[in-house]
Parts: sequence; structure tokens; C-alpha cells
Amino acid sequence: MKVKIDEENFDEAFDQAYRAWTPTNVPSGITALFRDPTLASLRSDSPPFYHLLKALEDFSSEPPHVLPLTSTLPDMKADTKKYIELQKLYKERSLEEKDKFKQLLAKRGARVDEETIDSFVKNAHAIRLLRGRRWGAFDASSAELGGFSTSSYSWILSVV
Amino acid sequence: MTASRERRTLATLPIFSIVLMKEKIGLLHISSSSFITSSHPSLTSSQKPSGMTRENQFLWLSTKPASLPSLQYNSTNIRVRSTSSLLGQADPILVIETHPETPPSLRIDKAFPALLEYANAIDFAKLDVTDHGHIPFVIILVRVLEDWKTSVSYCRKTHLISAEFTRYSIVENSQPRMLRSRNLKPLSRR
Repeated sequence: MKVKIDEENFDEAFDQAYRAWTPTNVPSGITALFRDPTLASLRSDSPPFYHLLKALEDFSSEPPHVLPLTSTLPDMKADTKKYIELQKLYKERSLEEKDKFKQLLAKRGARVDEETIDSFVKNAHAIRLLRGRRWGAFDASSAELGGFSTSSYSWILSVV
Repeated sequence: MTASRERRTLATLPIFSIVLMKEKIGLLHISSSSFITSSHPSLTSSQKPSGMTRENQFLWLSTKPASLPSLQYNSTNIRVRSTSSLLGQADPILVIETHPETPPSLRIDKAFPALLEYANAIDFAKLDVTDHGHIPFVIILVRVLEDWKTSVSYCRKTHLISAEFTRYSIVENSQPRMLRSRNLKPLSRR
């Protein structure tokens, strides 16, 4: 395909080739979120994030089993005309998929403001759910400490 | 640290409220200040484990249902050694804008119809040298994949493209014979 030795766009294609042979799927971190128990017992007053997550699960369960497309294109070696044409293709498709996502969300009767939906769809590949625990919960669980209780820890400290 | 000074310090830290809690300041002061009800996460520091537990229980309970995260920093001096720990407690924090370093998928291997049509419509051989040197890599890769799917080395079962195919297609420009001899066997075994 490359006809001249200094065609940087082909060198770039070679460098980015991993994107071609890496299958596009739903990332494992996102699939793990789909298993969150809150999704199974989703109520109308649940936080909007969970409604969005459920709609995302619905979206990705349909072929081609991917997350909604984002319109963000990385910089690449290309002339302006071709880059803009490509950008338009991605933008149009991402809008189509966002509409589909909104329909799925509406089907569940969830009301989420447009700005949050836009942000969610744009960042769908990187959403996170961080779980913390109440202070002292870890110390109180001897199972998690491997049978090592906090009282014996205090005893060791006193010896030291 | 006096109570009024502490209040001023908190007011000047809009992102992360820092609370230095000593036993003598006590929780009564903390409960009366308004920062607890604001939307700031908190960082607390204490030296006595009993105080830490009490303070964090207070933060845990008083921030519900706002689910504000609080971090507890503790340091203990044992003779000449110093140990420290940073522990956090929080209800689920739901983050949408995480600003990851991983770029989102360009969906090259699952090209949507318009992208596929656009890539297939380009006749690489007929382009002049300047245009040829400015085809975006996304289009090149979509075409390489499409070419590979029609080649003998394509394995429908796995849909895995070999690195060798990509290399010979894009850079070496010598796809046919070498690939047929080198790639057919490994792919058919998959």
C-alpha cells in the first residue's frame, strides 16, 4: 500500500495497527459494573448513574456489542479535507448511537438531564464506581485479615 | 490551631477540606461548622485510634446521603521509626468524567457502514502522490482489514488479524505470496 518511503500516514497506520487487531468489545471494567446488585433492583428514585448504566447494558447487549461511539478523533497525518470528512462520519454515527441510547433510557422511564447523558455517552468507556467502606470495617473483619485479629495486632505493637 | 483559624483554613480550600482534628478541639466544633454539609470531601488527621474511629463515624453518618468521601491520615511514632497510613471511607462514588489515558475505540475492526463505504470507495492506486500521503490511518487500517477478510489467510472463526499481514500490507507492500505461504498454516490451526 505504501508507495513512497516517506509517507508518514502509512507509518502511522503501522504504529496504530494494534487498534485493528484488538477486538472492540465492552471493557471488562464496564462489564463488571453491569453486575452491580443495584442494577438488579433499580427503582425510579435510584441515582441517575445507575439508570444510565442499565441503558448502557441494554445498548451493548445488541450487536455489534460495543459501547456508544465517541466523536473524538485523535490527531493524525491527513489533509484537512479528509480529516474533516472522517470527523463528520464519526460525529454523525455518534449522534445516531446517542439517540439510540436515549431511546433505551426513555424506554425504562428514566429522567436524566441532557448534559449528563452527553457526558456519560462520551465517557462511557471510562466510567468508574468507587466503593469505600466505613472506617474500621476492615479491622473488624477477621476473615479479611486472614484470621489475624486487631487485638493481636495491638499486642504485637505493645511488645515492640 | 484555634477554631476560628481552622474555619478560615477550610474556607480557603474549596476542593478538599482539610481538617486537623485533635482531641481538644473535639467533634462539637466540627459538627457546628458548615463545611460538613457542603459538598467537599474531607481529609482528617488524628493520632489516637479511638479518636479516628469516632471522627470518621461522625463524618460517615453526617454526610449521608451526600456520600462524601473522607480520607484519614494517621501517623504513629514508634521509637525512631515512623509509620503512617492513609485510609479512606466513602459510600459508592459514581464517576463519569475520569479523564482516562486509554483512548476510546475507533471501531476499526467493527467499522460502521458509512466508514466502511468511505474506505472502500477510495481507490488507492489512482490517487496522486500527495493525496496518497494524506489518507488518514483509520481509513488505511479499515481497508487493510477488509482486504484481509477477502484473502486466503482470513480465519472467520477467530477474526484475528495477524501482525504480519498488517506489516506486509501497510509498509512492505508485498502482501500476496509471502502471506499465503507464511500465514495460512498458523491461522488455520487457531
